Amino acid sequence: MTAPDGRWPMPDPAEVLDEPAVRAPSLQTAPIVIQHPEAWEGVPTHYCPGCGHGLIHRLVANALDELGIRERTIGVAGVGCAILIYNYLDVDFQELPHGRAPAGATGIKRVRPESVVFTYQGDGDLAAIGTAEIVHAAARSENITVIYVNNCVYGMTGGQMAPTTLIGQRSETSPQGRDAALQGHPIKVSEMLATLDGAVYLERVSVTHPENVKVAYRAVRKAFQYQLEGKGFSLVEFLSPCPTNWGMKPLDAMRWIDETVSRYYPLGVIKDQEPVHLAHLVEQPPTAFREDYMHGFRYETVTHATEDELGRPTRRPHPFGRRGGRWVSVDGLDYEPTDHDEPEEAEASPESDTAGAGRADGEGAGDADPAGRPEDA
Amino acid sequence: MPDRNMRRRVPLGERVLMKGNEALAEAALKAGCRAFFGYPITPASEITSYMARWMREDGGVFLQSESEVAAINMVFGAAGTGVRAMTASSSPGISLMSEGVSFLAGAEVPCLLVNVMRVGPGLGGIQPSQSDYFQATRGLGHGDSRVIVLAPANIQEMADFAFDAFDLAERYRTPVMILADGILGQMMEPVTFHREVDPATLPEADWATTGASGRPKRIVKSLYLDPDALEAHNELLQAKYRRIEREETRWKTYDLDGARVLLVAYGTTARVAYHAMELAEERDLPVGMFRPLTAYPFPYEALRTVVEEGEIEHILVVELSAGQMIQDVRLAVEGRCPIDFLGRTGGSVLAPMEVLEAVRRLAVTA
Repeated sequence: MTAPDGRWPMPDPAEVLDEPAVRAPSLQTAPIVIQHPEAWEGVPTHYCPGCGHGLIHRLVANALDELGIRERTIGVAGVGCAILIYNYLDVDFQELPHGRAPAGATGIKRVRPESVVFTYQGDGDLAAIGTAEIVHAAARSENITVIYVNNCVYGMTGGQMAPTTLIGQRSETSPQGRDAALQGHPIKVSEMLATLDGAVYLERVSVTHPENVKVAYRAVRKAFQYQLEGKGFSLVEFLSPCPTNWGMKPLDAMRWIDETVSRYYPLGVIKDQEPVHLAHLVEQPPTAFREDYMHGFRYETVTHATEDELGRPTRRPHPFGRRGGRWVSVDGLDYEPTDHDEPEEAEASPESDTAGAGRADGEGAGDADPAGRPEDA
Repeated sequence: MPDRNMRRRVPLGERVLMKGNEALAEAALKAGCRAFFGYPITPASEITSYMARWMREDGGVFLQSESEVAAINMVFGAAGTGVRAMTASSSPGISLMSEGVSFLAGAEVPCLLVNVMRVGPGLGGIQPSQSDYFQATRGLGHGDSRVIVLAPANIQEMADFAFDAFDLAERYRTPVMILADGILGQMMEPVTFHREVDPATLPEADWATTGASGRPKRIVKSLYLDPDALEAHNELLQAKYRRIEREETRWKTYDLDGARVLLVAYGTTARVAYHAMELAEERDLPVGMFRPLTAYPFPYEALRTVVEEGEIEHILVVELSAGQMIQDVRLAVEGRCPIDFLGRTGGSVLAPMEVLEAVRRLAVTA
């Protein structure tokens, strides 16, 4: 992507104005060496020269392609320059209010656990107005992927100070440079989220040169991979250039990220851990996890549940009429049946009366199935 | 741990005694609602609690959000995939949701919102009130957005309107609000559920984001940077609102024959006014009543017709507010007769005798 001397070559203007290369007729006859990913619309973006968004969009599109998940992906666009991401990626999209993308993604993922859901948010969106939403989405370990693009400034509104603006950095609303005494300190979102048990995978990357782009791509792919595996909340933080609002040439902006920004926001994996097990992360239709995961208990199939170790029939109840299994706590604590869990066949008690009467109306046929319980006869 | 003592859910056709909030929640579940996101607030919390207890049983999703702001956006996300989704709150919480409501209206995402009104402004109190009428019918979201507002007056209507709300929301692809108050939320009354909707039988939304598999991508959005495109979109929305005003306006009238004083009230106050009307009739005072069932669209024409064709000499608007719906009544009546107002603003409920006294004063001067 870069010339051998590390400089960024200017594209041929004629090429930019033309139709996207992949659709150019000349390429239909030539052997295809490289082409746009399927998830990429192949239209020119509206971003300023030297902006990082186009590149980051492309990495997301590549990952969706490589994992073969474009057709079941639903994106959520945050408010900012990249709100128009839905024009560039060929996936379903929702556009939520400023900062609320993680809440919207939560709604989508919860009702459609089989879909792949990601948000694409800037630092104004995610680290300022949307802090509550991102913190709680991470705390709940929503099984979503967050692409967080940090360019230390509000881009779309014209370069105002963001929560991520560095100390001393000049912006529209910190013209003398950000002063910690006046405006406080920048927020390191990834480090902050790392304190939450629910956050599973957090990595900070940049797109300043090809090696970093490769690392960034691996991070994006991994974040989506984790979602497919049901591991929970993942976030990839991009340090991205904003030459327009930084008042820099594109190459200087890249250099500034390498030399200054990434010293305050160090690159690398911030957190990568196995998740605390959460019921909603299991990719099953709602009806299945409704039965299998209740109130912190998971239904485990065992083969000898109807007899104890001496071969005597056990009185272990089977909530919801499931056979040959038992409820185990997802915390690893033992499940101790209480009086309430005695099956209806036991001596009448006020509780079992109620339960029994309720069953009489038919709908709970599964509940009333005596199979799996001791034979009374 | 599964609760073995859970009583069976309310069977269809059976007359049961239920709290308003719970009846509404049960009706929403029976109407096929499969996603609830909410944040606790008095006096609406029972809806959230009921959903927490039963939603999973119905194979749906319940989630307690970190704020009302998050709740409404979770509703956006879920409803944006074509699932029947709802949230419920009370006045201060609804204020927090306004932003999301505007986005829902702009992006044409159907959903159900419930406002169990409490008294304001600010934190105000937790007593019942009708002081969010303006907010619900005028300024619930920024921009030229509108929300259909249904105003139940008893627990049966709390339940019935939940079904209607989802039907209306999907027919017009718009958020629908049920505007109840603390009394309707908290009191118990007999209620019967007549139908149950299996969400699997609902037609699939042809606009919802479900993954662009074998079809062009779908975008649920409210941003139109091109002024012409935005104007076209907004004109479509307005045309939709005009159609709603034509086709979905609902109201009820009571004892209009020979009535010279007309009470206009909705929700809980309509019941107080109805009682006052009965007391007035015992005293040979010619009183009738008009009750809007939809606050938006307000039944302007119907009310105007009642005033024009009847012998109404005086209107008394009764509200638990400083006077909000009275402005709609004025717009409807257009000066055809004098309009008086009776209201309470601290969370206390009007007594029928207070209304009767006000009617008597009018009758004397009429």
